[in-house]
Amino acid sequence: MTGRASALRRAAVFGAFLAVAAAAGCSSLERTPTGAVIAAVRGGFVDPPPPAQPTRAEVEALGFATIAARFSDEGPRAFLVAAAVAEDYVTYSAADRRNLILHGAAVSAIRGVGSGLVSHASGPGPDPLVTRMPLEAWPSRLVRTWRFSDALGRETVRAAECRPRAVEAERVEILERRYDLVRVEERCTTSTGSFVNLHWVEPESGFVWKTRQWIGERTPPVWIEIVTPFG
Amino acid sequence: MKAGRAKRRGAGSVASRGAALVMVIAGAAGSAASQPAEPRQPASFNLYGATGLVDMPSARMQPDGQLSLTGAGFGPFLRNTLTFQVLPRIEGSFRYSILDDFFEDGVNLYDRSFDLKILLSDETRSLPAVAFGLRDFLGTGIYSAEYFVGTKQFGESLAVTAGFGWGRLSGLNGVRNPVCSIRDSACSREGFGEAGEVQFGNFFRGEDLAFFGGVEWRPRFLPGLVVKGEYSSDDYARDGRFNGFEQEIPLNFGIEYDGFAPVSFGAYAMHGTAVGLRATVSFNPKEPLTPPDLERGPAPFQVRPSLPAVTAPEFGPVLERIGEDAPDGSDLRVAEMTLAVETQGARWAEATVDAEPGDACPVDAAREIDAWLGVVDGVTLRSEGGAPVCSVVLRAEGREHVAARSAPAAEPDTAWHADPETRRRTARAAVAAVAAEGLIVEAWRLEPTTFAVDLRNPTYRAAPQAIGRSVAAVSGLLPPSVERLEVTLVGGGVPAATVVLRRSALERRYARPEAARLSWLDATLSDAPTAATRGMRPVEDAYPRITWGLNPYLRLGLFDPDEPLRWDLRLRADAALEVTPGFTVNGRVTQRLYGQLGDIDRTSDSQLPRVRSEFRRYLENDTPVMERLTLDQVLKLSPEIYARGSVGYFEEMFAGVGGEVLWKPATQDWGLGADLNYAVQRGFDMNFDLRDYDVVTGHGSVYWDTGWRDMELQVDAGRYLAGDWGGTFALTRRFSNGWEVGGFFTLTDVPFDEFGEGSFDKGIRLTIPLGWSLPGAGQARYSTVIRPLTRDGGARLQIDNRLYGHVRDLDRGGLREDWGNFWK
Repeated sequence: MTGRASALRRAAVFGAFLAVAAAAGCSSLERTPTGAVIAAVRGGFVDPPPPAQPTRAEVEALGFATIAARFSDEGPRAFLVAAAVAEDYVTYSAADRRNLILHGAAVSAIRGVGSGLVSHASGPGPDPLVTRMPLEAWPSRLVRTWRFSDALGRETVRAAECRPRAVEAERVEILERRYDLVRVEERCTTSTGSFVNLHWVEPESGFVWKTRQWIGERTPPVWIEIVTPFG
Repeated sequence: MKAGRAKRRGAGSVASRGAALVMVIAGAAGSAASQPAEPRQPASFNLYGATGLVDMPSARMQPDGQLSLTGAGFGPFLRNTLTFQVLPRIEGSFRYSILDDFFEDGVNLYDRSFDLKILLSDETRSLPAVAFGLRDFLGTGIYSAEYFVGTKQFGESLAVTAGFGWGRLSGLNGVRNPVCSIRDSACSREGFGEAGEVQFGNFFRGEDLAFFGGVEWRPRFLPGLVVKGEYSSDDYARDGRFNGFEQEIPLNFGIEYDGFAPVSFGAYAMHGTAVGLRATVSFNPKEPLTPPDLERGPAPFQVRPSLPAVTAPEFGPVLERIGEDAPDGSDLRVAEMTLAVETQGARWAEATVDAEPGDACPVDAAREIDAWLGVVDGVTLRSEGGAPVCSVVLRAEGREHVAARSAPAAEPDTAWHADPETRRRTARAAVAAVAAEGLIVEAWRLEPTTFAVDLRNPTYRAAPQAIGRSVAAVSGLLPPSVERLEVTLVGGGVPAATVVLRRSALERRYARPEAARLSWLDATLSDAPTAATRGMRPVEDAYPRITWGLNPYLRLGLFDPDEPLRWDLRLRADAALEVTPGFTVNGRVTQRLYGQLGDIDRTSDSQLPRVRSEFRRYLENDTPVMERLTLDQVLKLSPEIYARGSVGYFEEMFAGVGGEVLWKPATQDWGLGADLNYAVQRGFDMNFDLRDYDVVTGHGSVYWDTGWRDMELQVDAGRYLAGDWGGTFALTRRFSNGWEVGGFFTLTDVPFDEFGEGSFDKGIRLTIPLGWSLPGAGQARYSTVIRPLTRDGGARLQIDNRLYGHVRDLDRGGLREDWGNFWK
C-alpha cells in the first residue's frame, strides 16, 4: 500500500471515528455526550411506542384544561395540560416537557419541538384567534408576525399577510365528542412563499376547537384540538 | 529538504511588517459600509480548497463563518485544506499538501501553507466583485502567489472570472511585471525555501505577471450541478520536475455537484494530462445540523395571582384602546405634545388638551396624536393646568408601561417568613426544583421579598438559559411576596456575577414579543462577592463532591512526513474531588487502546531546551499514564479579582507549582491577568518521576471581547518553558452557540533559525459544541489545536483551569450575547 493510499485509508477511518470519538463516554454528570449520541442513534433506529390515548372521561377527571397536539401531519397525538397562565397566555405542557403556549387559539410559542417559535403578534385590529368573535365578524385580512430564536440565540422575524375565509361546515370529533363547526382556511403570504392555516370554528361564538398552524419554516405545522377548554 | 540560506530575522522586523499586513486587512474588512451582497450563485471550491474555479481563484466568498474541509488531488499532488470565512470579506485557508517525488531523490514534499483572500468590492449590477489574495504567504513558498481577481455573474447561471497574478500564477504567458519595470529589485523573488516566515519580500515581485480566467456555469435543468472551465497561468514546472507531471495544455475543466449539502465534490481534467478529484464538507456555526430547541423544555413559568393595584396618579383614569384605527378627526384642541422615550421600551406621549379632570376622556384626540407622532404606545392627556385628564393605552407596550408604574393596593403578605419551618420547606423545594433542571444550587438565601441562589451550571451551554430555567422552576414555589430574584453564577467554584431580576417584570414579559430582549433590559448585573459576605446559606451535604468521567477519545498526530496522519484511540478517566468551594483535587489517567502515535520515530533536532519536541517519547507508553494530578484552589480576593493556586502534575510533560490572578469585572469586556509557575519536566513514562529540567515561567495577559463580529483577542507576554521571552497573539471568532475558530502566533527572542523549521510557533484553534449537531449535548464540545509543527520555542504550560475560561461567559457581554436563550 502506497503512502498516499495508506493516508487516504486512515483518513476514511478517521472520519468514522471522529463522529463518535469526541462524544463518547460516561460520567457522573447527568448529561453526557455518550448519552446524547446514543439517544440520537436509537431515535433513528427504534420507533417509539405509540402513546396511550386517554378517554374523554379520564381527561375530564383531571380537572385541567387539556389540548391534544400533533407536531406533524402524521405524527402521534400528544396530550398537554394547562400548567401555567400569564394573563391570557396559557402554557400547556406534556410529560416530556414539550411546551406550547396558546394566546387564545393562536400558537404563541413552542419549546422542545425544534421550531424555535418564541412569540406571535397580529394586527391591525383584534385577532379572531385571540379575541373570540362570531365567525361573521372575522376580519378578511390580518398581518401575523412570528419571532423565532435561531441557532445563535438571536431572534428572527417572519411576517405574513393572512386572509381567513370560511369554506364549509364540518362535523369534527375531538376525543369522543362531536362538534358542528366551520372550516376556515387562512391563506398566509410571506416574502418567500405562502402557507395555509386551518381553523375549525364554532360559528356563533367564534371559538376555535381545532386548528392547524404554521410554526416555522423548518418544522411541520402543529395540529391542536381543544379537549377541555381553559376558563 | 530545506533550501535557502539561514536567516536571523528579528521578531521586531516581522512584527512591523505583520502590523502593516493587519492594517491592510483591517482596512479592507472595515471598508465596506454594509455587508457584501450574497452571491446569487453559491460559491464553489477549487483544488486548493479555497473559493475558486478549478485551480485558479475567484472573487467569490463563502457565507460568513463557513468552515470547510477539502481533500483534493490530481496526478502526484494531494491537498488537504481547512478554509474558514473569517469575516464576510476575508477568507483564510490552511493547507497540508503532499507532492510526490518532488525532490530528485524521489523524496516527497510535505508542505504546510496559509492563504488569505480579501474581498475589496462587492459585485454590483454592472461591476464585478474584486478580491485580492495571498496564496502560501506563510510557508515554504511552493505555492506562493499574489493576485487580483474579479468575478461577474451574468444571468442566473453563468459567472465569469478573470485576474492576474505574481509568483506561481505568473508561470505561463506572462507579461512584464510593471513593478519590475519600476524597480529592478522587484524583478526577482525568493523561491521555495524555509518554511514558517511571511515572505513579505516576495509580494508583487518577479519578472512577470500573468493573466488567468474561467467560467462557471450552473445549468438550471439540474440544480447543484456546476460546470467549470479555466485558463491557468500556472505551469507546474517546478512541481513536475522529477515526478513526470507535465502540463500539456493550460486549460482545466471540471464538473461538480453540491446538491448534497454539506458535501460537494468534483471531477476535473487537469492540464490535459491528469484527472483530478475533490471532496469538500462545509459547516456553518449559524446553520446547525439539527434544529434548535429540540431538548426538553423548561418548567412552565408560573405567574402569581394578580394583586389589586393602584395606577400611578400621574396617569389619571386609564382606558385601553388597543388595536383601534385612527379616527377621522377630533374637534378637541391640542395645545402641546411631547414624547417621552422610556427606558423600558415604551413610547409614551403627553399632550395638553382643552379639557379638565372629570371630563369624558377624549380618546379620539389620543388616537390622532398617535397618528401625528407616528406610533406611540399611549398618551396622557392633561389639562392646561397640568392635571391628568386621562391616559389612553394604544398598544400592549403601553399597558406594560402603566403596569410597571402601578403599585400594589396592599403590601403582600410576608407572615410566612416568620415561620422557620415554612422557610426551610420553601427553600428546600426551590432548591430541589432547580436541581431537577440539571443545575446545582451551592447556597441560598430566602427573605420575605428576596430569593437568592448561587448557581453552578454543568448542563446548559448558555448561562442565561440556566438562569431562566432556575427562575421558571421556582416561579410556582415561592410565596407571592418574593419579588426579587438574585441568581449568582458560579465559575470555577467561586461566585462570579450576580443577576438580579424582578419577578413582576418577568411575569409581564412572559410569552410576549421580544420577551428575551426586554427581560435583559430589566435585569441588573454586578460582580459577586463571596457567599459569606452575602449571607448565603450553603446547601447541606454539597461538599465534598466527586465528579468523574470515563471517555474514549481520538488523539491525532498530523503532518509527520513519514506518516502525515496518525491517531490513537484512547480511554481517558477523569476525577475531581471538590473538598470545599474552589478547592479541588483533580486527576486524569489515560490508556492507549489502539493506534500509531507510539510509532513516531523522529528525534528532536531542537537547539533549545526540549520542552515539547520530545513529545513522541511521552506517546510511546502502552500502559496507563497519569496526565494530571493537581491540588487547585480558586478563590476571590475581591468581587472583581480572582486567584488560583495549583500544585502537582499539571499536564503530561510538566509538574510544578504556580498561581494566577485575574482582574475581570463582570460589567466590562476586558480583563488583565498574570500567572507565575515553577515547572519541572516530567519523566517520559508519565508517572511520578521528574527530569532534570526546571524553569520559572509566567505571563501577563490581556483579554478583550471586542464585541465586533464575535472577535476575542488575547495577548500574553512573558517567559516560556524553554526560557525564551516573548508574546503570543491570539484572535478567535467565538460564536454565541459555542463555536470557536481562531489563530495564534508566538514571537520570542529565539531567532528563527534557532527555532528551527517553522521559524515561530503558530496554530489554529477549533472548538465545536456538540449541541450544534446533537440535541441535549449540553456543554460537551470538541476542541483541538492544529499546529503545523511542534517545536520548543514559545511553548507554554497547559493548565486546565485557567481563570479566564471560568468567567469569560459570565460578564455583561457574554450574558447579553446569550440572553436570547433565557426563556428556553
